[in-house]
Amino acid sequence: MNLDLSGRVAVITGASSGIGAATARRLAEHGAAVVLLARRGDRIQSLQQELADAGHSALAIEADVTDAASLNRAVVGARELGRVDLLVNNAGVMLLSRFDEAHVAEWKQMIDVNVTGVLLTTNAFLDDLTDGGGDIVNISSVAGRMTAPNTSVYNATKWGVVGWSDALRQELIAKDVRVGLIEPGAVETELAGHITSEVARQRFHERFDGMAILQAGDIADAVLYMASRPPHAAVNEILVRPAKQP
Amino acid sequence: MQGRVAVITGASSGIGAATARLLAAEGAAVALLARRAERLEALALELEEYGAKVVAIQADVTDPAAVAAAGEQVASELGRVDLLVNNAGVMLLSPFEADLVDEWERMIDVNFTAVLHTTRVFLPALRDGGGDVVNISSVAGRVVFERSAVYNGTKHAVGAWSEALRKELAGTGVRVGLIEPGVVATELTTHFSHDETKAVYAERYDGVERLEASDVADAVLFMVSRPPRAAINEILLRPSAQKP
Repeated sequence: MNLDLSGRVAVITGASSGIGAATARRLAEHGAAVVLLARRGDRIQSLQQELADAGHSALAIEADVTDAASLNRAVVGARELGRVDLLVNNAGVMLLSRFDEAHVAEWKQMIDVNVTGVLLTTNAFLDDLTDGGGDIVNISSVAGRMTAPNTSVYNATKWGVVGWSDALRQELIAKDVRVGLIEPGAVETELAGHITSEVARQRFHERFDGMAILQAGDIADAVLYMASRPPHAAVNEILVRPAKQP
Repeated sequence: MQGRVAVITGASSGIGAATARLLAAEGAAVALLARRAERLEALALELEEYGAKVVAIQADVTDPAAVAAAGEQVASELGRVDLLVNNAGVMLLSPFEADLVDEWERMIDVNFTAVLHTTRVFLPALRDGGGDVVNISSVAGRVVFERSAVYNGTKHAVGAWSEALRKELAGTGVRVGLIEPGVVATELTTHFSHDETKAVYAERYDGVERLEASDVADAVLFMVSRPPRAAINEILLRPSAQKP
């Protein structure tokens, strides 16, 4: 199976940690030039250095996916490495809580980052992507396919991504852009560490403590597999869970 | 795939044959099941030339006794099973009111009932040491089309059964995954008896460069080559130009 990405230019959002950082490493190892986007400039700069030291082409650009102006600056900056033909919409937050706890600010943050941020980022890079074709890989979640208590607003944001992504997939066929979804279950990342609701945090730990959950590199493998298919073949969706997660 | 034993149904052509070639090339021993003995023998010879260990078994997956006998033959000749690819399937499209009842029954038998029987036969060996069940479903397990009512029904059934089995087996070391291809360049579309549907189908995908059987084989390989902690539950893939 050919997994070569030589000559490709990939933009990865949320590249400062977790799935984003692992994906940047994996894509670079397989020949892509990688543009690292995140708010935490110091983190992506050290990842850029790590990749450059390994002989890869990498560029760190501090950007907030909820801020269109910062994305427009990133679009211009990214062109230093060439035309962007692969966008990995990875940045996301999972602030679980019971709905009646009314964590309104957290709802808004999830909607901003998980949905609006994906739309703004895709919009910003769309001219590059459609100018010769490419791939958009949207990192959603199992929560875009099934619901659970404490997950209502997170479910809503991921449902939103799934619906938007599949409509966009059909619209962009004419432009030779493939749009795919990756839906991971529990992954060993910072994601769950930001949960402030005591009841939600406790339930999350009860479900997954002691389970061998996914590593960020497992999701990076799925992104690599999706993006490296021959032009006639589009992997539209990959659902991946820890083997022990029912 | 070195040291692993794969059982593949519908191995005489299309996705099954391509999967057998790829898994054998990656070092797996392969047991090939299909009705057409001549085709199986030819494929077995081809794979053996590359040094693969191959067992070709003529069997109709809709015949539980034949599948049970195949299970015994695999056990005696290969000693274990690490991977079952439920690939055999038929797609006999027609409007429901065309009343092609024999074709409905054929699809239910091959696409669904046979998958249950085949899995039942090989599951004890898979549980003994862990492994993978890969079910080749279809986009028709996710999206419903006109003239596809019964085919859709069989593929939705496979999807539901597969997902329930996945949950039952989570944590046992047996992973259950579903692959849902769109239009693939195989024999599948040449078996319609309903002529008008043949024409409608050809028109629907006119100008769409189809998936190759090897694209689906790649999906099988990606799925089964994950580390033990990670289970690819589902891969939906279409020709890049296929919309619905």
